[in-house]
Amino acid sequence: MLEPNPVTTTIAKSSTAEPSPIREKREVAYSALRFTHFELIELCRRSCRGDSKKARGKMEAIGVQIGARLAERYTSVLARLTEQLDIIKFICKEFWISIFRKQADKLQTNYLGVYVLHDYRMPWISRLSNSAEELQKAHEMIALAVGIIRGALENMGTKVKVTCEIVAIPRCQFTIVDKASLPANNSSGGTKKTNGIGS
Amino acid sequence: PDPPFGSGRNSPTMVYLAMVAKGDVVIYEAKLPGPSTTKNPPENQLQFIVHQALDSLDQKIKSNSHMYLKEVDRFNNMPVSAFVTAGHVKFLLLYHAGTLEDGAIKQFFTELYKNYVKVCMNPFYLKNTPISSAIFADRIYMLARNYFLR
Repeated sequence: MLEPNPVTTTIAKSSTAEPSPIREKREVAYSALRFTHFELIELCRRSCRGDSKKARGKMEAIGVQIGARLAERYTSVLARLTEQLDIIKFICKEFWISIFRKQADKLQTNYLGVYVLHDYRMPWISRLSNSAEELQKAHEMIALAVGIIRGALENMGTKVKVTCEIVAIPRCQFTIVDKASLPANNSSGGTKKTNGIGS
Repeated sequence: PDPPFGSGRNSPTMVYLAMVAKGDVVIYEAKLPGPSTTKNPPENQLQFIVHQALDSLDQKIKSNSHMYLKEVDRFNNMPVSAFVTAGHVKFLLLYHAGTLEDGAIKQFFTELYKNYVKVCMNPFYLKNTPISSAIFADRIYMLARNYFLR
């Protein structure tokens, strides 16, 4: 999986690639990706002077940009998805595989715009030990993933709010709430919101 | 914006391409070479025609799950053909009726999509902003020449 050029990563490929005579799939060492991720966390933490919440917000913003690009790239081979549930399913399957190399394990929905994705063995935090101090670190690692999911969904047309709870390392669940279906007041319960297209 | 290759190329430009992102923001527009015909509509009208086609395109998007929508609108014997990506970026092509075949347009759009994805991957490119890369413009021009001039 090692590639001679260490600058390109599987997540953020630059657009200027010299034409290679053999068009093979370009990949990068997984460990390089993980180390870049750790350094990114350090960088954000330093630039926010230790304020964990701000650092996580910054990581999430980076993730949004990454997610938008990834979504644009990975949906190019599929037909367009019009149903919101199909979009979420795409996230669970192809998108998850391309980022975490496995599928999301469980998807729950209440058909009103709230989706819960379970992942029983999240690769990014699977190496942490199951203790309270590590939980803080795990949240910082997950912040990027949260941003990526949000970026991908916003790129495909739905404004969402994504949060992640770490039940126990390495289990985590991502809650995706469609902003359009958040009840403005009590009267809007029970209506099924379809995917908001455009705007 | 005019294509950045000046007056050196003299093939009669006959096909108008517009790429529209979310929020109806035009991120790229170009007049591309096509099979020569007289009577291009005046330049300011091109944008109006394509903008008008966006409405019928929006209606078709909701019902159709294909990326390539053959013809969404027509103006005075000039159809507008459209291609919508999963990220809701629309490519619209305005041409004279009968001068371009469906297959050629579809291939052009697919190649255009690949180039657009490459532009997106550039970390310095912010989404929904105009594409100002000269390489991109040149590539689109070559694509149009390959697929439209027969």
